[in-house]
Amino acid sequence: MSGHEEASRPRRNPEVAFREYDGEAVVVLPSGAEISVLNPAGGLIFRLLDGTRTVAELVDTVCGEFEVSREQAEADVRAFLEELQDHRLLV
Amino acid sequence: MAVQRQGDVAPDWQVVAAAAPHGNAARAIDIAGLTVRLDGLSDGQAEWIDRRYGVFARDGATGRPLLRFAVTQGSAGGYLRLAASGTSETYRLIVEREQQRVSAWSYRFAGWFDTAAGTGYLALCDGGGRSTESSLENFLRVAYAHLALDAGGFLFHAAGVVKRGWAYLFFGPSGSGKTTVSTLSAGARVVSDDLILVLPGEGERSEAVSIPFRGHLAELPEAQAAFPIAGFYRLVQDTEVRLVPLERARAVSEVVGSLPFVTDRAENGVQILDAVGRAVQGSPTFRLHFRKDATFWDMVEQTGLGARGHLVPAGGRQQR
Repeated sequence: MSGHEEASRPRRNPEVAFREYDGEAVVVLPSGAEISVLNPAGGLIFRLLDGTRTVAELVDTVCGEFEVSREQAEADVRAFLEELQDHRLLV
Repeated sequence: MAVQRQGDVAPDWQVVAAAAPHGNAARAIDIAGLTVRLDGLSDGQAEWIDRRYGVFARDGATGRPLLRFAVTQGSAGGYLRLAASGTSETYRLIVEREQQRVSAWSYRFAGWFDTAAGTGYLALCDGGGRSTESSLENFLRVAYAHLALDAGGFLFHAAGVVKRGWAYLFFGPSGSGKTTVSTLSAGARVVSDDLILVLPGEGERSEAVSIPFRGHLAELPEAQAAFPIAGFYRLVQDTEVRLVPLERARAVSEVVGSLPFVTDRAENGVQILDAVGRAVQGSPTFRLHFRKDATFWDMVEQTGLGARGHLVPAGGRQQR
């Protein structure tokens, strides 16, 4: 999957406002036209997207927090990053 | 700059500031202590403010305004262009924000304000009568949407209905049933079927504050009052009546979707999420499936009672 190789360090769009409530995150997109609710895994990853962590490290974190195989975590993280990219939530 | 139609003219803010005033009259508008002062009004504009805003209107010299506007004469040609005749369109309004400076303009007005400095300008185009008056009110709505955020609250596109001293706030996109619900609330007080101001209350629960920006059904409030919020109800038209409680994150996202003027600016995002997060923490949020009769009220009131325990307010809190 292009764009999110293991060594890349994705960073969330600094214009995106988000807050976590009881484990779930609410994200307001820059256009304001859409508001998204992220599940706990999504919220965890989104919080960590500060440009310092590699995709591989994000996968490690998900494996540590949730009972999921590394293959599954990797696929989920990559799919999630693709989705964020599509919504301009990454820079 | 978001100029979207041929013929739209973006305001020249230096011209707006340097233009002549309409007159020497001044008025203040005070909503729950959030005071805006307007200088440079014509006598006719000042009289209209007195009539339109009733108990919310003040003599210009009273109080300490959070925002003080110099009202000037707008460009003769206006700013945004109306659609060609015969074509209907949704009201167009551009709102931009750069740090603390918010600018807003539409067909017949252009203004900006700085909430930190407490100052701003509003150019109103002459057109007289309702055009000028609706321009002034639409600009004030934008100003109050931002003042509310700074006060830890928000302006909310919702119908507010008060029963036994509690405010029930019904919301959803246009056509979801806010006006319908208001008309099905016999014996209750409809504070607004369009816009409600939500501000932090004295306890955990936020308050719905009566405002003079109302829809078609509500009367101008005779006194300023604030009511504790029983709950937030996202309207869903259905063939059966049921209430689905929403977890906090989902509640925040639903409520944020009904905030006018402020959500298209990323700079407002964190303020919005904090204000709405606080409000839905203090009062429960539901998705209300309803049909077009008053049966939903039994369910809504019961849920509200369960959520608020034995507390009974004494008919709302009158404000200064």
